[in-house]
Amino acid sequence: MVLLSDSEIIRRVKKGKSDDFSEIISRYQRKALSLAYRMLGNWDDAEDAVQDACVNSFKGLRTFNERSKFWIWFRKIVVNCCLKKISRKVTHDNIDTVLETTAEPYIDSIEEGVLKTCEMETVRAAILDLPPHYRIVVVLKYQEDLSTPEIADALDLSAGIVRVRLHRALKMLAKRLVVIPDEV
Amino acid sequence: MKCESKFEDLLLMLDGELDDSKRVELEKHVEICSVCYERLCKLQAMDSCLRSSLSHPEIVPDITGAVMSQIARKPKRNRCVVYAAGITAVAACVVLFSLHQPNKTITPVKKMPVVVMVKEPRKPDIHLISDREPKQERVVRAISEPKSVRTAYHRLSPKETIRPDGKKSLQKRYEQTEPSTDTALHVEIHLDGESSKLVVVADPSEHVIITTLQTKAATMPPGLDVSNIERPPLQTVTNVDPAALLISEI
Repeated sequence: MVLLSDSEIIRRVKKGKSDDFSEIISRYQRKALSLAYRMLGNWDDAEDAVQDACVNSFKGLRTFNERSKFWIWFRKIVVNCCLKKISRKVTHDNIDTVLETTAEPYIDSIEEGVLKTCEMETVRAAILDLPPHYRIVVVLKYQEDLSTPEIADALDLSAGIVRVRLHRALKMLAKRLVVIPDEV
Repeated sequence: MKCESKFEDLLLMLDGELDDSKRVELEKHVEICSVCYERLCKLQAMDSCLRSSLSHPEIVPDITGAVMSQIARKPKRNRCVVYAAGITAVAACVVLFSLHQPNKTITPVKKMPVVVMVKEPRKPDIHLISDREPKQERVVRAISEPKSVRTAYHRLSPKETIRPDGKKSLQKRYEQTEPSTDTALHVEIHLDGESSKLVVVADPSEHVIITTLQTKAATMPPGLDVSNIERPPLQTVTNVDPAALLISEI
């Protein structure tokens, strides 16, 4: 099969060749699943979220503007599906509580201590402990390597809010991952 | 420069989001400030730690089959195809209909509201009769009940009667009160260019007094007085000239 561009495949799908959508899935499932996995912490939920995202994107393909990149559009859908899945587990009240209690006692651990560990599983666990709206910002930044404006676009937020969330998230992580010399 | 305020700027610098002038200034500061230098190193360490921890997993499950089976389960018709099919079907019907009646010209139907004022709160039948051959008569549907129908009767206590089979039954009774004046019956007639008579058909056993057909004065044929006609078995109210009968105020 000749390698078609995303927009060519999407045009074919829009014309009724639904089977061609499998090509789009196979192109982006890896990125989508790893994003969902980092967000949700397990493969079962990640698969569910990405499957929902794929079906939703297929249904809403008419609204996709072919001049923009498919992945950017699709990533938004994946993020929304992940947040929906999380919101079924965590109530917003809990998120707000975490925000207040953990953001307030900001310790300058990052400057006073040393990075306790860079053991990947520990870091990932610390990221998964972040409130979801902070976690998604961290994942988009460090996994997807997005800039602040790109994260803002993906989450439909202002760049200012993204910056605040990112900094708060880093402070929370610092608290978990950094050891102050006195404590050692 | 106060070092306390540098944390945010150091993060922005790491992200490459600090504007050039501030970045140059901060770089110079970091060169001479050991505290900020140390902070930057630690932030860089944390940055790279997060990036390596959040690298894409090497093995991910394949969900293509699962998604495609979900999509296949919910077949959705292409909306464009549905629209096209609908338009084609309508067009085909129109063509077939016009082929079937080649000599008949389709005249637009004009909807016209009329108010018939009656003395009694009964609902007369109203017909629209074509004066062209072949004459056709259509019953015009009234679109409202006579307005004062509730005020014309009041309920009496039921009367006990004995039925032929010997059982007793209660007969509902109503007493006719003084009918209200000017009971309005709204009707809507559809003029198709061929109808010319509006006829009110009243049952002779009922008191139907047609007081007026509310139209523009100019459209009422002169000399036609309908105010004192009682119990008309078939009463022509007015000749309707489709061109003139443009009732504007109801």
